[in-house]
Amino acid sequence: MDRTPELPIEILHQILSRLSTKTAARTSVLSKPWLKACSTNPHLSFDESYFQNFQGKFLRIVDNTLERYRHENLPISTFKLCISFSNQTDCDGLVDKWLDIVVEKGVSQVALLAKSRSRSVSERYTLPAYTIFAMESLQELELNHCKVLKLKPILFEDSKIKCRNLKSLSLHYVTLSESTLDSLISCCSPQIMMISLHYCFGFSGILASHLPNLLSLNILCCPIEEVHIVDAPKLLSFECVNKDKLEPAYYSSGVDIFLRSFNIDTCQNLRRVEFVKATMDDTILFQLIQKLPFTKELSLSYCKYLKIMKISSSTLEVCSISNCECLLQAIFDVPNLLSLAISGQYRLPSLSFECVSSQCRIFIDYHYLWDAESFINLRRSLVELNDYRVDLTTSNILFSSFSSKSLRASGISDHHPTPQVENLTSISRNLTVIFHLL
Amino acid sequence: MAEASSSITEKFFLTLKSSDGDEFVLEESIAIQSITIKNMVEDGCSSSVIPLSKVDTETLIKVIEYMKMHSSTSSNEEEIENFDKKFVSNSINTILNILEAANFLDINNLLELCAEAVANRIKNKTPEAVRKIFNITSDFTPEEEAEIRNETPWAFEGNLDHSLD
Repeated sequence: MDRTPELPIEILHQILSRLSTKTAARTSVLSKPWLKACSTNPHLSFDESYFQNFQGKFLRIVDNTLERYRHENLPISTFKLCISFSNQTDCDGLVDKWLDIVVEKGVSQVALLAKSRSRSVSERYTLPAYTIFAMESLQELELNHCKVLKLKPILFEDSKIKCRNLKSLSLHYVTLSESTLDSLISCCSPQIMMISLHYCFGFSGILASHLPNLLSLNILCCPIEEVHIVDAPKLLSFECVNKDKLEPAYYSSGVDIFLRSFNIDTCQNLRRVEFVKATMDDTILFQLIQKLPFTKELSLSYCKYLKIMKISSSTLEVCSISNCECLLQAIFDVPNLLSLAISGQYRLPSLSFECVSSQCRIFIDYHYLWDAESFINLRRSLVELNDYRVDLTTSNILFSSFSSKSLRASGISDHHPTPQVENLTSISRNLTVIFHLL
Repeated sequence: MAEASSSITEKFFLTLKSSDGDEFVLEESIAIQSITIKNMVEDGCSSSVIPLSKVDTETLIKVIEYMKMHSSTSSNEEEIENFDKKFVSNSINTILNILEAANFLDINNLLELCAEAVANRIKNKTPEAVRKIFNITSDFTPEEEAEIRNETPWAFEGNLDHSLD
């Protein structure tokens, strides 16, 4: 049975809002109802990359469209703009004007990606803080490559920040001052569910309290010194990552955060905490974990200041340690630990358990078996763990001259205790090594 | 479940009537996923049969199926995910009917699911293919169509999909 193709315009808008700018634009030739839907679509998305070298044309289209929406009094609920800035073209004024229209329209979702052609931070688009932050209806804000500036600091009071309905805040490559960030977060604190800060500069800490709806806080490569999150009862996940995951392990990004002070309090639901390349030492970590009495999952990687660490927690179930190059010893007083994963360690830390569940499984991923010494160390570590269930993954592709003779010479013989491994995955071509290992 | 007698309608059950005249008895807690029905219940219209003049029997069966799956506490996330996946594999006509019903009944999750499914089916397609899929007859003159295409030439560049699946 053929249905009548006439769908109500609000349904066409629903469909359009889920299409890419390009596909959505194509639907305007389908029929008059679709053309009408396209020209009144409340979800506006403009992407300069479709216009390659015709920036002038792009600016004209965006400007005409927004002027028309203003003139015809059409609603806008989503506004996405992807635009590039350079010395030659001055579109700052235009973007300011567009944002004013968007503010008038009471948009609930704004995404602004303002690329700078020159890569220089000083040539980034400067977003006047009062425009965006005055949007009471705003629920989702995503800013990319901008400087957020309080143009007239004297006139700009906290009362001008009105976006108290903000649920999701993503700032990527954004420069903003600590006081702007503080007033922004404190304004939206009753509703905010997700905060994500990537490669942001201009502030040295995040201080926030009373965040009843915050579920996740994600900080990537921001040079911050202090994190104080107090009273976030729903917070499930906290990530403080100082290294881009795409970046190869040997490449140092040069940004280190020096966490002088760290405080997460009254976050009874914080389940998962991840630190990547955080410069905290054994003492700070120990104290931090005591302040996280509800955390079930802890992940530490590239934390090079950890040497002899002790983790004491009654709730922790899953712990993973990787690439903490200076770690010599890890002491666990974790009665409910179910899984411990060690990977990327050049030197396997010695593991000691003051209190641990008999259910606990230990996963060791070790790929530095390139001489007899490393082999003996691994074997010794495994023997130490004979009371536990251990899964081992290893390879020694680099060490092909590894012969049983050299192992025998190095003192491994049958009267040594034998390590017991439950599951072994080996990418090794040299099976005798494994034979001697076990 | 069709033609169920309305005499068993108690406090916690509602009777929904499709545009074809078939009646369906549904637990109130399941039915109020529809904001339209919820508002009717709150306004005290739930004692009699709720007529859904815009929803035919075939579509209403699908919508009830969806609401039952999404309300039952026994179904886990994986089950719901599999159900949704299967649900959107219905024919485009069915999906469009459900989409319209979801819009009328104000069931946000269902609306989102179907709108996403429709969007996925017309992604990267040529306008000609989309017209055939949706059974749309163009009401433009060739000149008008050329003019619209001229306004967004970038939208018609690249490899577009002619297929109808």
